[in-house]
Amino acid sequence: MSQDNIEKDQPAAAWEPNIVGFLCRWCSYAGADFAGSSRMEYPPNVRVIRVPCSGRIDPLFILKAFQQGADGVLVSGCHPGDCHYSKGNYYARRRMTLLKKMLDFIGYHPKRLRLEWISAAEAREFADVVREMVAEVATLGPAANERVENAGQVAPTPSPLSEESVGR
Amino acid sequence: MMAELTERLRAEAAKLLSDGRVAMVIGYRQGPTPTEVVPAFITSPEGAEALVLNSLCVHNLATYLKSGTDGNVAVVAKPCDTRALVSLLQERQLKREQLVVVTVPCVGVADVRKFRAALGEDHALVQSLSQEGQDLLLALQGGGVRRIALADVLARKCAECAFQEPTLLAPSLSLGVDVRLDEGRAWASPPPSDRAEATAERIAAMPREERLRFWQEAFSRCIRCYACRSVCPVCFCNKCFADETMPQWVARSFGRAESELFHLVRFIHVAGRCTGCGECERVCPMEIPLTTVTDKMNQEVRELFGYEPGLTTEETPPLAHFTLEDLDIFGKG
Repeated sequence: MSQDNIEKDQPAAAWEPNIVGFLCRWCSYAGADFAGSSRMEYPPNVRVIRVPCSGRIDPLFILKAFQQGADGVLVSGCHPGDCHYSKGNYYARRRMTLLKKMLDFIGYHPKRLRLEWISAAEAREFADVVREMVAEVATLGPAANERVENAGQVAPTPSPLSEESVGR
Repeated sequence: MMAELTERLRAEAAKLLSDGRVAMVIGYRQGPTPTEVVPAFITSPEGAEALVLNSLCVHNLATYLKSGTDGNVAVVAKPCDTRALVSLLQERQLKREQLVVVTVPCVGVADVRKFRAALGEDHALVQSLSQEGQDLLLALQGGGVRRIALADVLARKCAECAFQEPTLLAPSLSLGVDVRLDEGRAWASPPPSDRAEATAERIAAMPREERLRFWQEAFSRCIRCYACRSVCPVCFCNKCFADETMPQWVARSFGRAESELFHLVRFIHVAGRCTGCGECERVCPMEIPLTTVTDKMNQEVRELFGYEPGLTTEETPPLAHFTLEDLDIFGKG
């Protein structure tokens, strides 16, 4: 994987956890925005992807993020009972629970996947979660290091969310 | 007993076809050699004579119904196979009124790989195959008879079988349309064991690093023939995510990372829907222990949601609904 190659060329000290955050636009995304506009400091290691609802997050997205070199994935949606679409987060909760069980069984460290409920008002909570998760994943080290060399691997997959495919 | 049962099956199948109840009977017939059994698609009453029934009838025939049927179809089903039919009905892939289930008793099926290994060099000499209770009898060229005990070649799923009764015949389904050949099942089933759990537990007990290596090695063997997907009765999407090109989730290039992504996503897709027929593992040419993960996921589903797939059509698979009381392992209410 491309990520492996990049990391191999760099001294270990340069490594920073790479975390992908899938945030619901109605709550956690606004919470992250609020944290920013309130000038709260938190580590810049989270790449945020805005989704319409935590129920929109297909486990495929998370597995793809790991495959593409993410060291951790943060999924955050509205508190139970607060979903904009009334029940998306309940479905998400079941899915993420099972996904986490599977990842653990397959050998991924369960702390690499985190589910949180963060409202638009909880800027402090968002900053705390990111800080905590970055610290935890930093302790675990690069996910790529847990993986064996993939001898047959050819070119890395192009990003599934390239400009063409989102049709802008 | 087995011969008599086969006769009854042929008669019932011929009757269903000549009465016009169904346009096709899906069952089993002998393959190219006497030690092979393949699915049979019978459309004429005379054709029913080709039907066979023995412990080499390993296939879960429900998979041929996953894209619906043209007209009415009868399908031969072992008790465990009925779970996949329940799943298809539950997810509205099949209309109950188009389906005649011919339930047959089962003493367990052979693991075809073990059977071949046990047969060894005698394979080329076999003239015919019959079954007496739990023994497979092979008439050899030159007059000898080779006897292979089913217990020695039994498929793993059968050693652990907990579904010796068909699940589809719930009273609420207003039946009377199905053909039951499995009543008064006389044969003792193999003793249930907890080997599935043991395998999953064995892997779960490994240190994380070793576990990761184990699965990475397994997935690196995958040649992505997609036989697991084709044979799976609950893998019925018209377009699989693995075939998508925009975006292309799974690259065409060869490599463990791509194969692993395919399998992990498939495990999630069948979680809470997998009826444990083990067909994915049976058809895998690379012998990847796929059912170890699907069994593990079913075990999790049992513990988290108290759900067992394929039992009744009234229930909804656990990832297709929720309760407000669900607690999760993330420590959030």
